Amino acid sequence: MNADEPAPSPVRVEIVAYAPTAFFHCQHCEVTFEEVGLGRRIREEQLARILPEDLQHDYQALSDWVRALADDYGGRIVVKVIDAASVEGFWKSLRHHVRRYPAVIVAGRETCAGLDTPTVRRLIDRYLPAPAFVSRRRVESERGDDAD
Amino acid sequence: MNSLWVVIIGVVVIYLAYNFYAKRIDRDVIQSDPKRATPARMYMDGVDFMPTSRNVLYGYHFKSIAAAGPIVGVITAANLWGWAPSIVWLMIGVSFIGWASDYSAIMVAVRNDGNSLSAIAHRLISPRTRTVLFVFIFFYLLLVAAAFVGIMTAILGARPDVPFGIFVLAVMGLLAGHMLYRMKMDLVLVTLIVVVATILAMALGPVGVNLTKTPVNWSSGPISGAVTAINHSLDRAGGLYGVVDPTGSDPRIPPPGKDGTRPSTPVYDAATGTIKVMPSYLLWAVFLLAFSYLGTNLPIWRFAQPVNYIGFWVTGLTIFGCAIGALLAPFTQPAVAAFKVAAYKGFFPAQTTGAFQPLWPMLFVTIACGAISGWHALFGSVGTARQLEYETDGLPVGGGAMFSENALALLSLTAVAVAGGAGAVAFASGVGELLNVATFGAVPLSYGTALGFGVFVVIVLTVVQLVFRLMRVTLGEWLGEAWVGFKNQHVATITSMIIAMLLVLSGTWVYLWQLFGASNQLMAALSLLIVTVWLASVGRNPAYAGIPMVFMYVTTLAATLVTGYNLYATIILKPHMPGISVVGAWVMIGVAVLLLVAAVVIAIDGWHAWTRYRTVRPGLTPAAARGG
Repeated sequence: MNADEPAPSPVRVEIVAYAPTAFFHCQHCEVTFEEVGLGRRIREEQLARILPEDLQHDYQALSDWVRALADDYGGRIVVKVIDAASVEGFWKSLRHHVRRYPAVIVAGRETCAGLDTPTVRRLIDRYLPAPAFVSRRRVESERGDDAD
Repeated sequence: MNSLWVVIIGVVVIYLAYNFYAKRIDRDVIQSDPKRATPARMYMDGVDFMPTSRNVLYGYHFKSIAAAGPIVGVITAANLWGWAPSIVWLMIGVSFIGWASDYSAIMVAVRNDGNSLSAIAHRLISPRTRTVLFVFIFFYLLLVAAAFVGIMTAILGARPDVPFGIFVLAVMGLLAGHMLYRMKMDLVLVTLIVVVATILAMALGPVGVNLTKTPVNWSSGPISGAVTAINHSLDRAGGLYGVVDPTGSDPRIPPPGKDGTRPSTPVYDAATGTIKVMPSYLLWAVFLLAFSYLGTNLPIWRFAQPVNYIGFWVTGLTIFGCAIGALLAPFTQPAVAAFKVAAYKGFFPAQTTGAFQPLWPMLFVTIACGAISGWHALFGSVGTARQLEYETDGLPVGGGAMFSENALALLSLTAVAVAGGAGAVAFASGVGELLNVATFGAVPLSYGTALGFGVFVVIVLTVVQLVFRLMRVTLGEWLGEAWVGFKNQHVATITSMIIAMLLVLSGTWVYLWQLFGASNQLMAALSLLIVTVWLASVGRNPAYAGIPMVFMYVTTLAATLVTGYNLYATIILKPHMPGISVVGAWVMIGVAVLLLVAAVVIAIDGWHAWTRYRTVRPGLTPAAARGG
């Protein structure tokens, strides 16, 4: 790839799930948490009580799943977790006909219910541009140039 | 004057200020550089420091700074001094001070490794400045909780069509939490059920009541009738004691008649300006505290989160409808679009209670959010600054969000001005009229007005329950070692609520609001002082921050003195005032004195820092650029 050539845009992977992200209605409170040195204590209290236990476990599993996906694809994908119980989560659910969470939306077009890794990978691969060097190797392979 | 002119003035001023002033400061003074590494990129940890798209960050920052402030301040000021001074201050404030404070606080934090303003103040000015900051924060919480509970209680007590909607909101919040997180029902379906039910409950409060008849017979409606019956059964014993509202914006005060004078009612004595605190007032205060108690102590998914979710939909839809109405009204119903509130009521508007409310300095602390707010700067420094991907995003995010909040304040002013009258009553009436226009008459005026009241209470209530949550945790942390009882969440919550309640019962919410405004604006002066000192320390021209800082500082000091005088003259000096009001007034005067002392300390330390950095620069140069 030419160094001056812009890098291809990463594939957007959005995960709609119940996430501990929606409590911060008033960030004036957030300021105060920070300023009086209570931030960590308050975050711990919130995190412990922001979701029911089963959904907390689900969210932990989701975090591990996202980390594994990000490790494999690196900068070629951008992962965004959207809290289902938010206006954005509502809109995504309506637009992509999502009725169960978590749900994965790839490139804003394909939807996959649940964390079905093979399906999600297949969808991501479909939208990933083939790297130039891979294409060249494939071409050479097809020509039989690397037979020696 | 009509709503279209407000839109035109707002668009033109914001366009000019952003493109010809803010961008110039960004380019020539701050010299933002997209190639310079930001703390978000240098210290990315996925928690606090995280490079974020400026579009996302703009929404995040706007959501963080826009609460009830732009509504409450504007509707109070329009009633006191008229719409013209309010709109002038909103436009001048945001153009020359507001955006500069928000944006600069972010950029100073960005150039100082993402440190918060208090940490920078500790380093640049003096260690005790940080302690002073803590004092502000504590009183901010207390004042905002008390002021908001006070105004909401007055609304619920005066309008029997409002409590049912708030009760249904609480029920729908519990229901939504259970359906979403326990039963895992379809989000779209649950949203439709709870949001529609809440809006209907809020709008249908006055069903069966003829609101055009004066006095309104609230007993004639099934919903408001039930609430009225409860109120009457409690109020048979008569008023408990009296309080005064220097601005006449308390919802229990009737609007002036055609002759311009206010009539007396069972709870309001027009001759003395005294409002009787009725037992039903206590009932609604306890009702609101019970609501906040649920939000403070139940697991967040059970109540606080679903209530906020429903509240966001209800307020978002209503505000959107009002904006459409404000645009359509000049063309479809010019009479509705015309402003009914007086343009200017004088520099010293007459006060029946003997209170002294000069336009300067009181306007400038009454309208904080929407023009300039110190809390925005604080939040910008600890939150947004740590997520800024490029330095050049600082202006569209920090400045842009402040201009957007200004637009929300202008919309609130429009709602009040087209309705006429005062305070929350005028705001709700304006919402009703604008919704009526936006829906081409499909939403009747009375139902739209009831929805306006409901929306106002929801905006305020969602903030209050979170403030009490913080007060509970803070009390447990700070005083839990002294007495283990404070570590119990219920004890800590009830203690916080009692302290706030004493202020609510002893004074008027307007005094509390003005004291809160003073603490807020003093924070703005402090953040501008930090920016000024920092600019001096790195050899840049600090005038764009320094001049507004001096103005805000002097104005806030004067406003605090005036509020203290008002408390003394209209409550303490007044004969036959109830003991609880006198005690509350002394407590608030004590808060005012503390604010004054804090302001003087800041001024002394700031002056020393300024003179120090004018001669010796401490080497606080911007972080070196990466990759050239």
